[in-house]
Amino acid sequence: MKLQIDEIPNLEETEIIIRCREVDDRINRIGNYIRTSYITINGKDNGESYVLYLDDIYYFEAVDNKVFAYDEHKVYEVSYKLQELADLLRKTSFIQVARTVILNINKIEKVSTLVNGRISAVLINKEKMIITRAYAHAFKQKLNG
Amino acid sequence: MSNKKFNILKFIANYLIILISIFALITIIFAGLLEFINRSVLSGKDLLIFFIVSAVASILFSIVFKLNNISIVLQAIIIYFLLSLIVVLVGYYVLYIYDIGHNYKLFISTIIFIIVGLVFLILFLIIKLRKVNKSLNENLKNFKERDH
Repeated sequence: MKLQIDEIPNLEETEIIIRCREVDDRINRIGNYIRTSYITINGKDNGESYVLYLDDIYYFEAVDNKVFAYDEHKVYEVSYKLQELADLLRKTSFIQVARTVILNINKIEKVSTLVNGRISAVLINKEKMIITRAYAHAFKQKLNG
Repeated sequence: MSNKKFNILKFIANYLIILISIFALITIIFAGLLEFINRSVLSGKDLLIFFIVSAVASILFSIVFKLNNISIVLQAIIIYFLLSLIVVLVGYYVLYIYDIGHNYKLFISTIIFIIVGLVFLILFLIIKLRKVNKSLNENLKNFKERDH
């Protein structure tokens, strides 16, 4: 495999092209990683706008028709609807785990099963999230790849 | 079908499943117990009382199944305890098979069976839960490795 990185200072948008004989699991993983790394979300906190990187976001939560992004320490309001985010982040490490929550699997430290087919997830920051029964199957499927 | 209607139908279906399961279970338990002490078979009146007891117990069981903040082991223990209580109370007050003053052996052996069953249930649940959690966490670890 050859890796070539060309630095072009006046290029308008970064372009990544992968040339391969066929798209296999590894190529898909690389594609997903690049997508995750380059998708940014605009968030607002106290009236100031911030560019949020997906890698830093723990989860998105919808509260009273507003959607918030949570990183390790702060909460940002984002302009997307939860369903739009679910569609946008389908091929990333994010997955909807409750009617109002989209969770970043990479931020989960450990999981354990609960009653009624629900799953409890402890995040890296020790916060606890519940994966409801309706979304538990999709969650397990995503973990299995 | 509206969401509300679907939820009501789902609740009724779940309730009926629990009701039928409890009714079948206590009927089998008492049929076995009566056979064991050489007493006559269950009458229609007994079955009617079983059904009423099952209907009330099903409400309690539905509530326990809905509890979200307790572990699956505790939930199973509560269900098992309630079921054991039903067996002892129905045996004492309806079928009069637990005559503690004159024939304490059946009562003592029932209690021993209940305790042994409880120990097995706890051990089984702990082992199964550990296995499921281990597999889930391994999958989580693999996912993170794949993603990075």
